[in-house]
Amino acid sequence: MRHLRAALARIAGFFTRDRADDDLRDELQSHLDMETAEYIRRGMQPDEARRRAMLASGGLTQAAEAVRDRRGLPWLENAAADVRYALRALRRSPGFTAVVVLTLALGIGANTAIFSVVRGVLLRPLPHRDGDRLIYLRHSVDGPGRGNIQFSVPEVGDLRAGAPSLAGIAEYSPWFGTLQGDDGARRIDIGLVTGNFFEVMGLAPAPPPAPIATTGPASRR
Amino acid sequence: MAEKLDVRQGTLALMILRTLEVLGPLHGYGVARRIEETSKNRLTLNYGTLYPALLKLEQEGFVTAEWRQSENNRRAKYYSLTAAGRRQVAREAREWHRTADLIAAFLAPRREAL
Repeated sequence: MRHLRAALARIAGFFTRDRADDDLRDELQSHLDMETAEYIRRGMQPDEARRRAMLASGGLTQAAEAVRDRRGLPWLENAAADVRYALRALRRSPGFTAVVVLTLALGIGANTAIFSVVRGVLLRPLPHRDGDRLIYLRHSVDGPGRGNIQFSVPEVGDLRAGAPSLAGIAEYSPWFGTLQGDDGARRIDIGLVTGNFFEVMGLAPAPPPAPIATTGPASRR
Repeated sequence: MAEKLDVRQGTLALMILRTLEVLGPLHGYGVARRIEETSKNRLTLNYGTLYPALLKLEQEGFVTAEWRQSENNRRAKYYSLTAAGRRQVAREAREWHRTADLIAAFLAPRREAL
């Protein structure tokens, strides 16, 4: 309870420190005056009395500093002072600042870009079901461009019949077609899949997209 | 001249609280004088020791401070004990007595004491 109270008082002290500084200066000064008056009362010369009082105080500045450490949030004030100092230093040397900012920007940008790719490719699971039970079959023959050749229909039939440990086999073949419109032709990429593809992958087929291009002239304008 | 002692950590708060309990509301100078007198000048308090301690007690709610006119017409900041401060004096005094008894028993000259 008392620690909580003290902590709250410190936070409050952080916001009222200017007024508190005046207050503290007055308080230390009144102490010094009273002590000086006491020495004079005991028969000292005013100068000597003041000197003695000053000596006994241990230094007003040090005392004010010690109280300030106790009052607000010195670490926050120090951090703010450090930031201000850093900003001043950066403003004084714009060339250096530009290099630092550019370095940071490139570093952060490159990291973000790489992470985006890593996340998309490696970290984020693909939307299919049961990724740990899914295997990818491919076969290849020697020769350039033949690292991933297509399966023939009988081969797929053999795999279906001969690999009972697989719950289902679906095929996918890339293909492309040409779409001929009034204003020219364009190539479209096509994925050919077997009827059980969506079932095996645990996906729901998306609703058929709107036609990419219609034959009417209005769609392109 | 008596040997000077440093104010031991944690003891100053109790000295201040007890001083305020005995003398009533008092300014920092008065507290310092009283502590020095009570200690027969074995302790001296500079401002850097006294005022942070007073502030800490104020933050903890054991004392309150307000500016007032002093007896010889100066303005001074007077500290007074709160109800929580009164309870704290009693509690800390009890603890100090217990600790002092304990240490005294250990430092007793006779072997049988241990």
